[in-house]
Amino acid sequence: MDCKEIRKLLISDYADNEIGLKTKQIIQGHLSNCPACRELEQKVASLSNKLKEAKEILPAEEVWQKIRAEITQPQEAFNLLDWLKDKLSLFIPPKRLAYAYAASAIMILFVFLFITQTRGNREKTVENYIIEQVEFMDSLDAAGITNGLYIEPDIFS
Amino acid sequence: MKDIPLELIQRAADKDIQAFEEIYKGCCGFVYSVALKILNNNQDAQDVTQDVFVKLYNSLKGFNFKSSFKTWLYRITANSAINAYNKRKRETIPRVDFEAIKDTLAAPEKQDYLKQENEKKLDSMMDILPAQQKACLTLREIQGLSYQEIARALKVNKNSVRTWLRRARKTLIDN
Repeated sequence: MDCKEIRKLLISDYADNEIGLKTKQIIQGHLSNCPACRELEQKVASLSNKLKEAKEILPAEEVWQKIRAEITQPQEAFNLLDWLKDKLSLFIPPKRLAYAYAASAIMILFVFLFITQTRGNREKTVENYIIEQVEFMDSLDAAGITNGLYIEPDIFS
Repeated sequence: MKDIPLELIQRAADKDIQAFEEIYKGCCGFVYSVALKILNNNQDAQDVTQDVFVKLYNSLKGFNFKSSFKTWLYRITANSAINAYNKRKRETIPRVDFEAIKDTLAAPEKQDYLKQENEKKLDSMMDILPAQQKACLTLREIQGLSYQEIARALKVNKNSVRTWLRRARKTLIDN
């Protein structure tokens, strides 16, 4: 491994102990011979110590009072859209949520158009079939084959 | 962050406010500190803390008790803070009062002065990092999470965590 590769590992896997024993030994061997990489290792360790020194800070008392007030207030009427938005916002950033809404609206529109189109075509086919049948029966009637037994349906009268 | 007993989570899920307050006391320091590191603003961090715990209370009923409560809280906290940071960035309202909150804490002894100055310097340096890098660094260095745990909390793969940590450290060291 050259310095470039070593330095990459020094500021990630090596610093975070996410490295195998063999690679760790290779890096340690390199560090004992390379002052520049050793300096970087020390800088990373110093940065890490500074960050770890940061104490956990507690929020002001009023935060709990606000939370308590919010969770104990009477529930508003259930709103499905708000509920979905709230649940999704836990995992999807609001900007992406807007894209998701837009995509859903487009899909619903396509499904609606498809259904109405298909139903329209089906109605057209039935209508054509009935007209054909009526014309056929008319022709039979005219030829005297049905002996006047055919009665024209009411729907066309 | 303290370990939260399952029995306490169960009671809070059944709308026991006292149990929920216990959970709050055990976790609020973590939630607020992570939010403060990412947002660098006291009021915004308090808003995120409030938001996280209200969401938590309302979602406890649906919590899968086989999964880790901590990982779940890491995820809600990091996502809420990152969302708040991005929202603020879009609004472009300049807000830096992290130093003010530090000054309101107990007055430093002389020997602590240098340490606090270093902390302030580090905080202002961290402010230049993108939100995801700050979240990664905070979860790794302050909370001691592994790459796998951070990846699970932020819903990204391990390589993204590795890259963000590398970039964050490089920026902080070079500055």
